[in-house]
Amino acid sequence: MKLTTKDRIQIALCTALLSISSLIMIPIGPIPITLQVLFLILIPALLGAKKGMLTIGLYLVLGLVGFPVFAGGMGGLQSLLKPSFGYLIGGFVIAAMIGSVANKNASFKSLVTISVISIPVLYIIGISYAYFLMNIVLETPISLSVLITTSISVFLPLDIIKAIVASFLAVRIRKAVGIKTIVS
Amino acid sequence: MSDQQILGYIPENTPIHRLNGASKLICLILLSVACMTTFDTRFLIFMSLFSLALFKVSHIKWRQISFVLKFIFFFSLLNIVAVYLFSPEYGVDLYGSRTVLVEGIGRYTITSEQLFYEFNLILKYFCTIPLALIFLLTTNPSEFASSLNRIGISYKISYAVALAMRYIPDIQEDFYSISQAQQARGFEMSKKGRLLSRIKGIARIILPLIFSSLDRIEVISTAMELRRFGKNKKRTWYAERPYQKMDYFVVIVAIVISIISFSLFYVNGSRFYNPFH
Repeated sequence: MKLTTKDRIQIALCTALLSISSLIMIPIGPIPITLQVLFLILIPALLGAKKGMLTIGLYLVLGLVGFPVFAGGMGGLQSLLKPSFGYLIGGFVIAAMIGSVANKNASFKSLVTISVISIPVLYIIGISYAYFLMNIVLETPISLSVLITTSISVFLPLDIIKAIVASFLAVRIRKAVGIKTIVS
Repeated sequence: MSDQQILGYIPENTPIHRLNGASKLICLILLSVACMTTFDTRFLIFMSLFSLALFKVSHIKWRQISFVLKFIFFFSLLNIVAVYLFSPEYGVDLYGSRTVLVEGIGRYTITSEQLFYEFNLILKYFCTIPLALIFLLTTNPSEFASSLNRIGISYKISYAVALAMRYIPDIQEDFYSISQAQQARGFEMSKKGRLLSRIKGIARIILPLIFSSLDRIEVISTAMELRRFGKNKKRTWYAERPYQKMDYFVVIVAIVISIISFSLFYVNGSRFYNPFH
């Protein structure tokens, strides 16, 4: 299907929303949590697979050319050299997973199921990227077990919560706005 | 609201503002790659000073960027500390010598080589972050869209890119407005609040923010269609800026700097400038 003007506006403004979400921070002790993961799940749940992927793709392009829209206001091509960049690539992949479910069935149960399933997918891609980057590209040896332990113990519980919250928000927003006006 | 820290284009008449958007993008990418690939300290110091000088020329005020810079500083610090925690003697491996300053606990020594390596990482931030902010703050989104269109990207796509740039400050402002309104109603958002209170506070900002953004989508897309956007294969550009001598000049300068960066690989025998030999 072809993108209408409204589709393009949705993609552009959701890209801006995703950019702002990376600047909203809730400090939990020394660990800063942004709402980026929440929006990486919420946006494909609202827009569907195709527009969701285009939104995250546009976000990645803007970030890589230098706009400070990645977590913590970072950006630029050097973001490719950060271990955490893999999670953004993962965000692109899970947009297809979540969006394809959102296209068919928008019940809370199905959305929360696919959202929670997408979190380990996100982590597999993120940790694989971090391992490849550190050990091969940057020549900074880090064992896989250290990466897995660090990522899972610190961030996984919070991301599961974000997935559930994102599904809840998506259902409420779709009900309030009317499903057909968003996923079409 | 006019005193809010809004990160977006602000019109000025400086040499950098007058450059073509595509030229600035090319320079940004070339210079970012140059700074990203090298660890030659002398080059990085030069580029840091060069970036800060560009900041001066572009008339960017501290107030415009202080909000984002606080975030950047915090996460940069996090990265620097993380490098040390994971690989406290990586610098020793790189530079091939070991000068212990503090023995530390276990493997967490402090060596001159590690400090020098992390100093290089800090310089990389000082090189690349100002360049990105300069590009964002001195480029008119409409003019940038016309530049993208000229290099072959469909105007519908380039216009979506410009809209995303255009609305980041608007949504940021919405976020602040909603946050202030909710705090006026008694919801605790500051650092003094308990964790659960702050999470509830965030939830009360996110939903209105999303709804106001969705409303904005309706308004914008309807207005654009009423103005017959997208009905033809081509369009003209009000904000188009022709290529000038200055554009060619700055692109050449960026290319020369990139060549210097890559040449230093051979001069140094590696990506690293090694003062410990």
